[in-house]
Amino acid sequence: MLLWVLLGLMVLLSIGCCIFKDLLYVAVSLATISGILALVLFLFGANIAGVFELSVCAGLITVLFIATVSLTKDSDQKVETRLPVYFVPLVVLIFVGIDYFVIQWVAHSVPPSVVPRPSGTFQRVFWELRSADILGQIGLIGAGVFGILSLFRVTSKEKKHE
Amino acid sequence: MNKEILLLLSSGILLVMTGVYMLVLYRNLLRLIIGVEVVAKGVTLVFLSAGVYRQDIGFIQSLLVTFIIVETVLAAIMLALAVRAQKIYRSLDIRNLSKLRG
Amino acid sequence: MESYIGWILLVPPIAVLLMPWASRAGKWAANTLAIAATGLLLLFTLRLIPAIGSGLKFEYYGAHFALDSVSLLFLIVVNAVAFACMIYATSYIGHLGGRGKFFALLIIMVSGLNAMLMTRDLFSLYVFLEVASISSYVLVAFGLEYDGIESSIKYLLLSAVATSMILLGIALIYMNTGALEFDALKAILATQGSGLQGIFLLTAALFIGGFGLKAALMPFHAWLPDAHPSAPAPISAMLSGVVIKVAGVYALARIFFYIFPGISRVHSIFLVLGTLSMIAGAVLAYFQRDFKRILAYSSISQIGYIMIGLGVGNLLGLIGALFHIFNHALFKSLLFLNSGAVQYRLHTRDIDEMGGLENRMPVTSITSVFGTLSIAGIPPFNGFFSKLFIILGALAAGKTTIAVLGILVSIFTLGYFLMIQRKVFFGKLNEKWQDIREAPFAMSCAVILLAAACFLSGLFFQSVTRGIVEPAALILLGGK
Repeated sequence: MLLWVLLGLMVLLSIGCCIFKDLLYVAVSLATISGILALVLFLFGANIAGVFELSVCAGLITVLFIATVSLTKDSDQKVETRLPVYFVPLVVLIFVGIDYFVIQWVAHSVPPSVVPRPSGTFQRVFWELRSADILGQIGLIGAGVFGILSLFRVTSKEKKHE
Repeated sequence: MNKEILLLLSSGILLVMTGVYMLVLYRNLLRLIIGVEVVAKGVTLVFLSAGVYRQDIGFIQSLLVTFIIVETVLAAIMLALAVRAQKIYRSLDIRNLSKLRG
Repeated sequence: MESYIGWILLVPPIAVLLMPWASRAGKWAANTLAIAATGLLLLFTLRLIPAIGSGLKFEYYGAHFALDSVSLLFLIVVNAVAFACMIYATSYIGHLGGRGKFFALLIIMVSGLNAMLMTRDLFSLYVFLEVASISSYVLVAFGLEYDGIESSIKYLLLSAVATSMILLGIALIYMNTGALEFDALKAILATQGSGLQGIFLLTAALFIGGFGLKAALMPFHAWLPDAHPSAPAPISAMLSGVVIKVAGVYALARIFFYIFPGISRVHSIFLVLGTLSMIAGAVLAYFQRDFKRILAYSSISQIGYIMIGLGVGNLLGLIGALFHIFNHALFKSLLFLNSGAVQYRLHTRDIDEMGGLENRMPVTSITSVFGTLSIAGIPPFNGFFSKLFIILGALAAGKTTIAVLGILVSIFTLGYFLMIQRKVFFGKLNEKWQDIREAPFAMSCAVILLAAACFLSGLFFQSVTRGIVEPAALILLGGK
């Protein structure tokens, strides 16, 4: 029952992201979606992923987003969509319909239950079984750091203007 | 497949579809970035449903943590590009990007 | 020998860590570090060629990396082109600024591609793909001009859709089989047979959509004609010559030939999309006036050839496709680097404004001729042999229409490339360009290396094919 409420709230908030005009409301909706997602992760026992989701997504990304919104304050904020807002309920119904069919298909194509072969705790999986991902994460963080440094560097043209 | 897994899967797919809807139909760059993030949340839910189905939460958690890092770096780079684009154009409308033809 | 794999993975992080100090120490320190890093990677890759045997493994605390002939072919492509582009970039970066950061990002991109080729797990493949992609988004926008930033954003948004499709496919596979390593998946599929057809078709569609977008296959090509011209020249060369192949074609080949062999519907889709790309890319290229945009559309066309070679599924076609990957990387990056040299001196990319540059830029002109002859498929350059194999493979599989179309498009390609060559290099020297000098030394070095490689790999195509390409094709075919 709790799961229905949480997931329903998530879907409603994502529709809200489409509808809200003020970008700050959109940022807050995204943060709330991340928070509810973290809660769902905790409910299913994925504690560490839940902590990451909460701190990083609900925290860091929202902060970055709001910083960007304030940095780009002087841009135009006119009408944005190619489709008027009152189309949204119709589109939602279509999506729910597609979703229903896909779920029926998946439910019938996959065996109902499975022999569990658990790989162990998160610690064992992350540090031992999937250590290659750690190299990937280091690469990602390196790409991110150098990327931000490159994108915000002062080019020679800007130096000339100063 | 019990009810919970199906519910997770269906919400995940709904979120992905909503995110793609935002990517296709919106013009403001910041909304497009939100669209990418919503798609990422949907994918997280789908992964969670796969993990619960296979009853191997530890494995899925590892994938999810890595994916969250990917998503964060991607969001940071996208936002940096948006700030830079706005400096040049004075607007965040991607109709300005249609100068380039596909 | 196995430790070479470890060194290939270890050299980039060390180089990137040292780069800030090197760039503070001066231009030459940064140049040396960057060229040394990519040179070492190329050296290790070349040392691995004779020792490959039936595959090498490298394990470190649970990180499993393995190398087989297919990965080795792509590894050679990546590191060779990266080395040439790095030499070129040492001089090109002068007018962009941000030397150390550029080199660091390029090394990170190369390391992401290398690791992607050596991993044996679907999700790790995705993670390293993201490393390479994120570095490429920033590198496309590196000049911080509006062109670059716009194309980077467009590229990024489309790629985000692609990666979400790939991830959904991975989640579906995990749900169905509970495993993500290549060999485990092969084993599960061998025992299960065709029991799970329905879901696998959906997964296949998601993968073709996702990786097809990375490979710029039609109809997922929309980002390429903007991203490749607007990027700095060495990045265009890397993207067009290497990234679309490793990130796109390698992943598709690995999934649909090694892990899930024999889904005939997938092979037909490859044939259809490949033919579409081949024709549309060539036709659209003809109408462009921007030098690099023509090259970008022709990349789409050549990827079409490669997918046709993969789609016919017989040994000739696979050898042709893999050899064409090798050749296209060499001659397309050559052409892009030359276009960059022309842009560096002339500050324009419009071919209608150029003319008679052969008098002022002889090295660029001659190496462009090498590149043009290769891409049009004229013997003894390498492009001829790979296209020949693909067309013969199509004939052997009974697809005569596709073979005929392949020959026609090849002639058409020759046509428009000769037109470019004439417009840009031959003819009367346009008054504006009287005082233009040849491209800087480092840039000329890089293109001479690539041109020599094009010529030699064509001349000695037999040793290249027998030594590197055929073992890779046999692995894909036999699914060993």
